[in-house]
Amino acid sequence: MSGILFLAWRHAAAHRARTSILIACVALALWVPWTAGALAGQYDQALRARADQTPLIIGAPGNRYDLTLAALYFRPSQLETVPYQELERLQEGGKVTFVPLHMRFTARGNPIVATSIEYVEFRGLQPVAGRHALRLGEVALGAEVALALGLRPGDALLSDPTELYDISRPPALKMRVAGVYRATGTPDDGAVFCDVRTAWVLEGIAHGHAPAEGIDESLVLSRAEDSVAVSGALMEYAEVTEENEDTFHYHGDTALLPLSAMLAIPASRKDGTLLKSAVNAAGDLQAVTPTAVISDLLGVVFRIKAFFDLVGGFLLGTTALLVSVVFLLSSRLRTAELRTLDRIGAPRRVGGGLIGLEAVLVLLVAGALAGGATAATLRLLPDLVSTF
Amino acid sequence: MTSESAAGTLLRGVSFSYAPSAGSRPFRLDVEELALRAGEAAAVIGPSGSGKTTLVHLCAGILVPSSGEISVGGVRLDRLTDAERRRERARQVGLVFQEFELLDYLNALENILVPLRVRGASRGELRAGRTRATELAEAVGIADLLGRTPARLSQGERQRVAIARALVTEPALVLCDEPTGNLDPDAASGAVDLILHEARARSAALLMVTHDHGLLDRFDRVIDVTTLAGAGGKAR
Amino acid sequence: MGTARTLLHLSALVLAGCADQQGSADDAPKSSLSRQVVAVTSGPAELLAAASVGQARVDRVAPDGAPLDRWRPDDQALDAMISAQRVLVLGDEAEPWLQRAGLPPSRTTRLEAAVPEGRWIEVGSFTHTHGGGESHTHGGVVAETWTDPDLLRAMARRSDEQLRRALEGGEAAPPPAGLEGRIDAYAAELKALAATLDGRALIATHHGMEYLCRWAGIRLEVTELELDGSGAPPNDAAVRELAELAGLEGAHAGVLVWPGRLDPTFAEMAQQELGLRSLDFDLGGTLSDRDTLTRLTRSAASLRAAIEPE
Repeated sequence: MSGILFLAWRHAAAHRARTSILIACVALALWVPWTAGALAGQYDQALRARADQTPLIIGAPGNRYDLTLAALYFRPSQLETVPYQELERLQEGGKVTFVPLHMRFTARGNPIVATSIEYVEFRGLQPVAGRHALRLGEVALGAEVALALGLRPGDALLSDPTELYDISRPPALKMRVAGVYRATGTPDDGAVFCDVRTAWVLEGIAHGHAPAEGIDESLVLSRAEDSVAVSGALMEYAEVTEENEDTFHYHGDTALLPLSAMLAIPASRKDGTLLKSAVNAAGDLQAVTPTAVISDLLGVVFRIKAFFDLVGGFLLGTTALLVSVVFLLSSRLRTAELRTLDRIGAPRRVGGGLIGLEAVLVLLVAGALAGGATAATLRLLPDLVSTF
Repeated sequence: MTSESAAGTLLRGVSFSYAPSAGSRPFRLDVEELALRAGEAAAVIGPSGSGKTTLVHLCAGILVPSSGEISVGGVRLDRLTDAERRRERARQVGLVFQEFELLDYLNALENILVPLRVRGASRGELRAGRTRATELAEAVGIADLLGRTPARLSQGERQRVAIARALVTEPALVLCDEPTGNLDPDAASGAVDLILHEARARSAALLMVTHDHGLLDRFDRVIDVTTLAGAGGKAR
Repeated sequence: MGTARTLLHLSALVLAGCADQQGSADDAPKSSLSRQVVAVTSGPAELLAAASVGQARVDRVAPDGAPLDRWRPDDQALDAMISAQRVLVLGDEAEPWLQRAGLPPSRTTRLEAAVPEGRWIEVGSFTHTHGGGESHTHGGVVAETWTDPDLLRAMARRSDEQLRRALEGGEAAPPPAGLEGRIDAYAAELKALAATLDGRALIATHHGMEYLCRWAGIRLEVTELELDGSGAPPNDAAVRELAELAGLEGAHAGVLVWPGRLDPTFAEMAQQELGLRSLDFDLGGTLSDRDTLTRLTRSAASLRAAIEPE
């Protein structure tokens, strides 16, 4: 057998171009489904892990997938906001911790997640530099945001403008980087965290005042006896500084300030069940269990994946057939060689052995290459889950 | 088995026939007796289609007679199974083909060692085989060409590789089917001398099919295949 | 075969590497709270926290005497608050810094939430300057709700329920002398003050006494002199108003009550020119060596003693 193996190996090595092409075809046909399968498995695991860690999400009635994806992965949401008083009302119950979430703004394309210190504690976010963002106008950055933007504690970050046509408001808020969190491999790495009060400044609900004296007249919209309205359009950004921080206040009832959603962390499973029933029965809010929602979502995704698996299977089958044709043609071309070997005294099935072993060699090398390529792809791809 | 061919080749009462195609007249070869001693060289002549190649294939065990006995190196080929015959062929018979039939993806040394590889030689046997191959290569004058593939060898060099391949297993019988058919006269003469010399040096019986009557005087015996049915080959 | 074996091993290693793609650890640690204390930043909060969980478990985060409306926590103070089991604060009206600091909602109790709608006292806002200086605005909601005994009781009930629940499981010292009894004593002192005033108004330099006066049925006249110790002159309009009021014999108690910092210069002027004797009244808002109720009760008693006929 080793002699035939040697001949098979030498034949494959002598026909490098053909052998390389065959290996490449098989490797590619294997790499695609293997990588897709591994990625799908990773996604499944990571998405479920994130959902499993979160007991309940509460938000405005509507699309529960929307609410779950917004609260877990900071995806843009079309849902209505929830007034802050709902959080205070639910918090009175005492057995559940409610964490506010506000995700209506971005900074350099990264979601600004306005929340409370309980979120950071719940997700186990630890500063690797600086500290948590506890003050108005401060932000703490997820690891990937800090890396991508090259920011450290003490640096500034501007929010992205949203109200281009409201000239009474500055288009952006200049925020101070208070800290950077350690990487977690979750969507938290791709977020900009701040206190929920900073979001209300972004909303324009809270603002500060500057001294009226010394303002450029070209910025003045109107003057009254005791106030001056200044155009925000001509100011590059608003900023909370040590000097003006004390002037920041809210207009209107703070209980009505908007939230995108709330996380609910019950003390026990029973408390969670009771809360969910009570909230859904009341009807003005909805409570969803992320695990169930993500399972539903992944079910749909994996049904689609099954279709692509089928396509991948056809691809693999087609490749196998084409490779077989190549080897079949090769065996035809080697008729004289095989006859020679037969006459020299090779075993009867030397032809099949030679072709078969060469095919096995090609498969093994292709498999190894595909495996290596899959591993490399998985390592080199950006962490798609944290940027989901 | 006669005492003359105790360690050589013997065909006795061999009868072989086959129909080349449906409806055609069957071909038949009968050999009353043909014996070759170890180290004896015989040339086989006869018109085209008379059965020269068939005779070679019968001696190699490639074809199986319908009756009679064929012994090579003391082994009755007619009594073996196909697999056993193949093994014996790889061990006991060296073949030199008209077209040389080297494997184009192996170098000269690897081509010489093919008979050892196809019979599944062990590492030790391969090691010994390499030594013999090197010696054979020196003997036939291609010692410095062992790393070249057939595409980079001349006709004459390829034939020497084929000769070395036929002898590397130290066979009891060397069979050559018109090995000089593609060579010019000078090269043909040199090739025949080389084969004869190396076979005799290794005490291998030699049976060579040839159309070149100018070379017949170099053989110990000339066998006219058309006369095999009646009597053995006549010694010159 | 040796070559085949090697290839198989290599393939196995590579494929095993494909499986080693774990996401990041999902073992996120939960809250790292380790301080079983109640953090407080004001006198009333300290009073109520101590009444529920014992003084030993109360952590003062603001310095003594820090003015409620102007104190801002530094990083150390914020860290102390977020790491405490509970934070007890008055609310945005009394402590404006709450609007700008991220305290944990689930561990923060706001005493002002106990004040029913409609019980807040608002004073009209107005803007003025002091003879050409910077203009500023007064008015809005009066924050000193704890000076009303009923509202203080409501706050006590709210904080007691939330603090005991938050700190249950830990060692809770028995509360000191019953809070209810002490509030009763304070309330009695206010009633006695009202009786002593017998319909006469109290003149005060800012609105901090609104709640206790409303509760006790005491007429309060407030004159916003705006003497904050910075050296800026008093509000002229307010001074004229004060002078007019001082001239109305029998309409007031003959004292100028300073719930904020007493300005000695103006106090002397008020005594000499307007016949008004200046008296401190400690509303107990800030942290101090004496608790809020003690200060309130003593202030009420001192005021009554000062206006009692000899």
